Amino acid sequence: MNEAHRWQPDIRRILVTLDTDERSAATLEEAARLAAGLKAELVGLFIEDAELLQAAALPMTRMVPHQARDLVDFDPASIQRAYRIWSAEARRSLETVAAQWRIKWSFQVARGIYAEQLMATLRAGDLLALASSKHQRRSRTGVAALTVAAQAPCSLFLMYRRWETWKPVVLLYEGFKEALTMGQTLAAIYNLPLVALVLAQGEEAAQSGTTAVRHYLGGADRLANLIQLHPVSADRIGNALRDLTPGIIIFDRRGKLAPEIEEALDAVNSSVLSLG
Amino acid sequence: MRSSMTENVPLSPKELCWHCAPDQLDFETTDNLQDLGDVIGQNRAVASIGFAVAMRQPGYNIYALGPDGIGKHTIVRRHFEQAAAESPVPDDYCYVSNFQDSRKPRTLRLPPGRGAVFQNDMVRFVQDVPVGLRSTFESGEYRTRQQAIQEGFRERREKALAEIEAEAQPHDIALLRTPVGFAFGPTRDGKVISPEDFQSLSDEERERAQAAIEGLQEKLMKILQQTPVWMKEAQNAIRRLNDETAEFAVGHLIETLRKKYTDLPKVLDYLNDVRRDVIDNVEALISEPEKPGANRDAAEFEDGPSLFRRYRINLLVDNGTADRAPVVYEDDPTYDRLLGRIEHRAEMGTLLTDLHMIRPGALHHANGGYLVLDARKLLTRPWAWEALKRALLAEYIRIEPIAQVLGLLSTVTLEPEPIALNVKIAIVGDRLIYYLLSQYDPEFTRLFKVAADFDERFDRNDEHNLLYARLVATLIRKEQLRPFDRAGVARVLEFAARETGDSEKLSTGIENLLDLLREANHWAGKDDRKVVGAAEVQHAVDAQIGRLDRVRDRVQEEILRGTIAIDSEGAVVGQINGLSVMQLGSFAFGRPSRITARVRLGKGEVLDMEREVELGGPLHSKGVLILSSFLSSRYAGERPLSLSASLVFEQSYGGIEGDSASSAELYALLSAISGVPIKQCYAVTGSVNQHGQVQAIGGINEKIEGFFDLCAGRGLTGEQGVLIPATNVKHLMVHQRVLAAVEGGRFQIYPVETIDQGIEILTGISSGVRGTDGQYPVGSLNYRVETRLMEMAEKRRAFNGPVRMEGSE
Repeated sequence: MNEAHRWQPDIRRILVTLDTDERSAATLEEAARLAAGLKAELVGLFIEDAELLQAAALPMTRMVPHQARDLVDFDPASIQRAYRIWSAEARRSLETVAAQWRIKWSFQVARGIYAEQLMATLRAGDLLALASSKHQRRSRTGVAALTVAAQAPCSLFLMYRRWETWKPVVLLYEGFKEALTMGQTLAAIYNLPLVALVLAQGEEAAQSGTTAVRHYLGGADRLANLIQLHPVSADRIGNALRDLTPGIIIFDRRGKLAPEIEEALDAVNSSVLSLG
Repeated sequence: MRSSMTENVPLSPKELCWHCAPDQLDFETTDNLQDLGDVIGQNRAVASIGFAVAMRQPGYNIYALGPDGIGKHTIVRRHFEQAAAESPVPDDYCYVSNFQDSRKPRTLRLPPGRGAVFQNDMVRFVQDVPVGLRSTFESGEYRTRQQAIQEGFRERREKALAEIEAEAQPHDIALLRTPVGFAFGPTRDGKVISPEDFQSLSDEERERAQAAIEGLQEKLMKILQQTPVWMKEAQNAIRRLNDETAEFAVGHLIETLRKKYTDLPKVLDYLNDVRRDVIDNVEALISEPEKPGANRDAAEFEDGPSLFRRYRINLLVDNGTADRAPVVYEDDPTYDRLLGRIEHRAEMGTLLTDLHMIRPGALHHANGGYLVLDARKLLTRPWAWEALKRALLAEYIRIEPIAQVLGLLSTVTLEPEPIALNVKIAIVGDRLIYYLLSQYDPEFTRLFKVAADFDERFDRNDEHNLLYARLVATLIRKEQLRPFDRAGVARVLEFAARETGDSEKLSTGIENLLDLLREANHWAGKDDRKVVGAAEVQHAVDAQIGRLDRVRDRVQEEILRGTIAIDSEGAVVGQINGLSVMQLGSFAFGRPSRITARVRLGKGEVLDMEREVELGGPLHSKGVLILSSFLSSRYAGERPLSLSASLVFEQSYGGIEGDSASSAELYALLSAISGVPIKQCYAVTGSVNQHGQVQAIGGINEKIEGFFDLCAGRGLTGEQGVLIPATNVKHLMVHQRVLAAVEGGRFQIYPVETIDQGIEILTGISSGVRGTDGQYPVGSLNYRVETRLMEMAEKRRAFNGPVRMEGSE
């Protein structure tokens, strides 16, 4: 048994924000799978957006419905009624998925500014699962999510909607054992090959990192490839990731190369699990 | 002028029965005889069947007519089997889905044996397709391409929304998302402002914010209105992807099958349709729940109907194992069993069906071959006859529920494509049905042009006797009976002659013959005989009669006890013993009846009591009218017949039909007119014509035996006998007991040609022949009759005064 097996990722709760968006359902499903694999509690968080309630109270604000030609009046009371319905639906979805995966679960409803409420809920040892897309990053919610992602005191799983589950798990190794363990764990959960990309600025450090990876994952069946990358730049990381076509990328936000990695991730369409 | 009596000679024993001498048969036992391959005595019918079989044009179907038990079925089927052996094996037929209209399954015709192969191929196809579709549609490649399309749509929308959001930002406007739509709200420091803060804004700021929001709302609505178009484009793209993927998944399966059936264009068309349908319905097909096991498409909806079931075929007719054209006998020709049916399955209170529940009928099984049906069954099964005619006229088989044909079914059901019909049909039935159909059903003669008329009898001669013996031998071997010695066979031949009621004929009846052989074999077994002889055959004949003659014995008993008054001695004026035949089931026996006649002065009527009370049938009444005419023309040609006579069957309580008693009635009448008594030791049968000639009648043997048994019961005197028409002598096959009595001189049978001859026997007085002077000899019976009638005419004239000529006042 390799050393990584002796260390279990310390993820006690997996948080997932719930709303009626179809992406939310897909995120919930993957979060549940992850929770089952990591033996963590699944926490569903439904946030009633205080800004929406506030906007509803404004005299000239009207709703542009998805499937109607005319504007619709709306007010705080109608939004609150809708929130009650949506939160009940979200709870039922959570309950169903949790039963399917046989995992512990809880459900919370919070009202306030989206990012603030999210941050208020997070604790160390959590993993926040968020849906992600390029365009989402341009929206207010997306921005809020990314804000949280940057400041979150915990690990973060940004699930890219075009996540293709047959592509490999790529571990960007910068010296953190937790990343190795998480990489192996995810590869096992999703039954995917694992590729370790050892990042270092110098050859010696790279060699040392390679040795460490071999030491920890040497006996791992899923370790399909072990690649050294030095010196490191955002471009080189991006190029390497494009070649590897990863399904999931794992890295540790505490690393020195985290900024380069974050920059490089803009160039790939993969789900990203950043440990923090 | 002749007054002497004609010499009336009774028949000799030889004339009473054809006796088959065993030494005429050139074999020891039936083991020495070869099987008889040909049919005997049915040349006409056999030629008709052969002709019908040879005629390939429509309408040359057969009606095999004749009484039951003479081998119609056997002969027809034998000829059909022979013709079938030389005919090609017909094609297989199957029903397949009509993907354009599922209510109208299509037919496919395949060479014999290939239907089953094709069926198996499609079963395998149905098993392979889901696997192929799943593996292809679950492949990374498909999902990548599908997700790319979906993501393209989402990105297009998100991009548009993001642009709106970006456009709103400089105006301090935020785009807020909800599950049901979007809203814009004014912001300060990136946060939506409260209503109080909004109110605190200057009018200009508020108006500017409101104008910006209205502009953004308008743009957003345009984007959202565009969304369905983008979605439609995405759906179309996914559909094209699905088509392409499905084509990839099933294309090679279809191509493999197509290579196998390149010689069958219709099968190729069907395979193309299957390919198109799989592609068109791929989303439904791949979303169908997977069922365990290879037999996911259980034939009988075990797990509910499967969408893949539609690709299986229903092999309606499988001639794969046949080596000749079919010969089918449908013993229960109901509508459904003839034309096929569409079965249904009740499920949750609903009746469901599909093409796999179409079942073939006898016409399908016999198509390309031969079909045998029973006329009576066919005509008594509701709508079967009409349906058969319709199929034959249209030359195709259309499977329709009977309720639909009658317009009683309003629910949706299947309308399977009709199947071309090419069949030779033989209906086997009795003659009455044939004649009725010919008379009243104009389509019958068009569809059944060939009558195979089976005869009940054929000429008896030495050649036929031997052939008949071979027939007996064939049946014995077929039935695995003991061999018959030639005496036994000789007795069987006599039985066959007696069956026809004609000593010069033999019966073609197979069923009765078989019964006799089996029963004789039984009695031989009882006696531990290895070979069946004449005694066992006679035992069987007597036992057959003995099982059925209760009524005869009862009648006989009542006559002997005097309850039924029949004299067999003495002489009585105006009274005679007539003979009739009673048929009870398969047993017929003769019964003597007393017929009496009374005369008085009258206007020339002969009153038939039976007719007056509506117990006499038309033939009997006709006989009475004939004898009345005879009386008038012979004895009262120049003067009115001035009597009133009455005739009656004494102690008759049922209907009387036939004219076989007309001679007896005339004898009684002559006796009554002349006053000359008739000897009661005789019984009489025979009809009479206007010239006084006695004519042949039926049931002669039974009638003779009926009177003989009465006389024997009372004791034969040697004077008793029966007068029969001379033309019936050839029909005589009387029982051995009668024969023995005649041989001993204790009973006589007189052949009679004329009434004059008969009355002489009955009265012992010469009938007399009219002399050159036109007068009968004095004292003759005719003289007495004529004289009495003249007297009556005179009396009548005197009673009425001068006769007035009609029209003269």
